Amino acid sequence: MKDRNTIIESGMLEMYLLGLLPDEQVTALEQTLAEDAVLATKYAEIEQDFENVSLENAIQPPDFIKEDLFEEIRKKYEGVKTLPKEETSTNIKNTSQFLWIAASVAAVFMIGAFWMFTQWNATKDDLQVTQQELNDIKKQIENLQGDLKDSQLLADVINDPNTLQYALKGNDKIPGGFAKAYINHEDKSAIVNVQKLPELPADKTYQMWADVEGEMINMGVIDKSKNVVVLEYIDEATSLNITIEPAGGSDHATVEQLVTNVYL
Amino acid sequence: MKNDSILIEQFKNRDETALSKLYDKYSGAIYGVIIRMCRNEEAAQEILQETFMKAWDKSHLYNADKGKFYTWLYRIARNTTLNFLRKDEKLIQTEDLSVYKDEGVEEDDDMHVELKGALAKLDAHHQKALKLIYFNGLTHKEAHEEMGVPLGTFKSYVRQAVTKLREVYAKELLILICILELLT
Repeated sequence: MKDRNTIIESGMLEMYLLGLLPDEQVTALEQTLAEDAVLATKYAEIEQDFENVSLENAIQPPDFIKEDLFEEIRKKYEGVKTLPKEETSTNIKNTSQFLWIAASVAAVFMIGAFWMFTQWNATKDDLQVTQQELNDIKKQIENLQGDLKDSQLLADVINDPNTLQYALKGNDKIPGGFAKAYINHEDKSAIVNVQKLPELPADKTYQMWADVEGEMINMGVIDKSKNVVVLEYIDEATSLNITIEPAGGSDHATVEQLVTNVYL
Repeated sequence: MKNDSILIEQFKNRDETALSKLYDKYSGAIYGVIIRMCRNEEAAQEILQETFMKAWDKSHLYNADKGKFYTWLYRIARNTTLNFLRKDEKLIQTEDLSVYKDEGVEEDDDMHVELKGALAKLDAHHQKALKLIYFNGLTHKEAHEEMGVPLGTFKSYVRQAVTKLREVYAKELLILICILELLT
């Protein structure tokens, strides 16, 4: 084989690079390059310089060429390793699967949460209704207890031999109206059954008075929601009187609105 | 080359990712060569695809001990392009196997074949000598006839051009090193 300088000066390295060196010289040159580090370095420099020239004069090809190339390769070969698009596709698929699972779990959780919220609201409503019903029942019980107390009181008063009963028949202002007073001078108690007194407008109320030496003393406003009303016992009363007064009662009896009275 | 060694090894094992990366790195350089050789965009695109397809098919034959991957790829591109041109009825090869004899290389310069970089900095005859053999795919015999100089003279041009090219790159490298030194 030729010596190093001859090879360099002859242009063999450039021809080898370009693929123009005859085959019979290629083998010998490759052998020399393998053995001569200096020549190999020289050749490597030329290679690098030509590569640099190519890169400096590069022209970007259209994108579809790469796509066509890979499409052709996929058609031609099976089992190509580490396919980037398939890898990406797999990753996307895996990611997609993960996202679907996550979305499904989230959806189930949201549905569950919504169901629980609905149930909680329904339970809350039920609880409110139940609470209302309980309050109503309590109120009814209280009313019943009140009625029972009134009835008990009335029964006690009636059964007491010291109780005196007085009938108060309504005048023309309340035709058909009727009340019954139970006075016990021993116990100093006064009870009136007002069940038969007619209903009044909302801005009016019945009020009971005791006539003491010509003066009307307030015994109390009659609560028409109750059948039996406990009133204040007044000593030395000569008569019992019921008038119609503005709602809430009056300090002084409106005599013109007297509806019934009875002398004791 | 060292940076590409793993990539090329993967490429030889038919790793499509490696091919994709190598394509991205070298397709522009190779396409620049092909289009300057055939001066036909449509044909150049087909040849580029064929070049990489051949490289893929013959990846097992590449031997890094015998040269750079780009050089190997360049030879495939060059041969593929020349085969294409020889098949072209308009470019039927003559007895001296010249594919450009009838057309003339000079008349076909356009924006695609305008040379840039270090090569453009060389003297006109050096520039042309390298262009004829490297970018136009001519043999030394075809090229010296194209240039109208004796074969020996042409070979001297090539040798001198390669030396000048080395000097330009070495100078650029030196400037780069100086800039880096100044920056640090």
